[in-house]
Amino acid sequence: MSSASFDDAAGRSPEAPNGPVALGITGRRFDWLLVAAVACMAVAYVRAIFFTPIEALQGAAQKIYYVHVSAAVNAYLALGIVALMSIVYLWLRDERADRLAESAGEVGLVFLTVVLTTGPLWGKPIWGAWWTWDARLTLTLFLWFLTAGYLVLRGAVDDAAMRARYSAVLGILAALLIPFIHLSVYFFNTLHPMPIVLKPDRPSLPNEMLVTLLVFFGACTVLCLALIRLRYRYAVGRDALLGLESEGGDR
Amino acid sequence: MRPTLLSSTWVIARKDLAIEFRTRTAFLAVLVFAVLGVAVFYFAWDATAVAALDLAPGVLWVIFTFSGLLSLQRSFGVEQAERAMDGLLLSPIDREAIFLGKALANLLFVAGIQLVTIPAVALLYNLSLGRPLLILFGVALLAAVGLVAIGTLFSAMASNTRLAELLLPMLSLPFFVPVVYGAAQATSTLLAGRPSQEAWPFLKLLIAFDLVFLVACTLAFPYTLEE
Amino acid sequence: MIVAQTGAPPDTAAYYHVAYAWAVAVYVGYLAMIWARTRRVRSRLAALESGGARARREP
Repeated sequence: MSSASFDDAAGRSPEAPNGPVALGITGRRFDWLLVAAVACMAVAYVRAIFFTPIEALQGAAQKIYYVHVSAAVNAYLALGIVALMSIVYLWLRDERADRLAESAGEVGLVFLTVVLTTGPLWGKPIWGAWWTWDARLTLTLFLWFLTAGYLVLRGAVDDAAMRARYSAVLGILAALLIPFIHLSVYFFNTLHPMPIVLKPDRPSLPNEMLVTLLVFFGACTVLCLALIRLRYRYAVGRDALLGLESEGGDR
Repeated sequence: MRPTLLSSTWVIARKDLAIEFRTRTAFLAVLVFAVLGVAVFYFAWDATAVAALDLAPGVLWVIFTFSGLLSLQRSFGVEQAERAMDGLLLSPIDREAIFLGKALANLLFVAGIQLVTIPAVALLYNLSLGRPLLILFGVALLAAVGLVAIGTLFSAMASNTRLAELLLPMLSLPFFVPVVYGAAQATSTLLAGRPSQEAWPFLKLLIAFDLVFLVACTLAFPYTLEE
Repeated sequence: MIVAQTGAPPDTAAYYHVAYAWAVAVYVGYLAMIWARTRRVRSRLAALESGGARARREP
């Protein structure tokens, strides 16, 4: 598969004038960020499993908290990038912003899935219920639907410029929607108290657990950024391929 | 001289409504769907366990949501045929006016459906008529503004994609949550004869949503058109 | 493993194992998906490049 044109130092060659692009996805550049991410996650897992005490009242299931919260915060981070890049795209019409939004959206959906699946796994042993309609879980559920809708929309539009514009519009409107959903859920919970007791007040974590939480959170953040970058590079390659293929068709 | 935003809006709305009422098929179809839905849903619950009064707001708003979506599906389908949209875009009418005109037409369409469905619900669910019913119409109209603002924009986008029928509900429903919640709660509060102050927070939620998204969707619409 | 308090905490280990394993599975699964897609794009790009180069070299 190796083609001499890609081994040029600057990634350029007569056959591949858009060399740097090609190098970006075919290059043998060591993905240090991804390796660091995997290493950090391994460290976080080991720490959480072997070097963190089991909580007395909730048992081992309390440890799910570390995975759940880290995933949640990073999901919000990824979706924040989507919203920001949506604005940037409509303002600057730079396709890189659109590509970044696409990548962050997909990674965000992955993290949201982890949140929504580990949540019930934590909730059932701790509060006795798989699901509660409390503010945070409900908001996360709707974020999942919005992100899924965002990705389905992207998949349904063939023209790149239209796809970028539509996605950006949806991204911005979704960001505007969040406070309204939050408000609705807040009303819902204060005016219709749940029969089961809501999330028990999280007691201040003892130091060991706090450190584990921070380690996990940091590791997830590195993973989130590494995945977004990896996905972004794939998007660059895919777009280059589409560009070349359409050129070939015109000839 | 460029037409004003208001006059352009009205021209577009009148055009859409004229097309609609020439055939009246879509309106009648959605109407039948709405009333049928209300009737069918009655059997989904145990009438002895849940009072009709408690059931009515929920049923009403589920039906309004889905009949609203049906109404919106056809909204941009009208222009797809023979690329009529290009003609619209070449005219000196503001892009925003096209959106507002279509939204207005949709609003009148949806309001028309509500006008018939609400009395039908009152009939089938044995609700008291009079002042509560009038307040119900008001809440319904308020909610319709929000539904139509979102739905018109997403209908415009979805009609240009491969998965139009799937995308419109999929994208719109999360946005409908605050509207449906606010409207259903206001409705049930008012129907239960409680003081209207209790319904006020929900009405505020509805009004805020309407204002924010009417403006946002109007501003976003030009971005959904080709340069 | 250190137990924080005397008196056994409830045995909720099953949930914890499933959750941790599931999270790893999701992350690794997604990583594998991006890798597979990237490899496919790479090979098609390379095929296009070498095919095009060959075509251009021929008179």
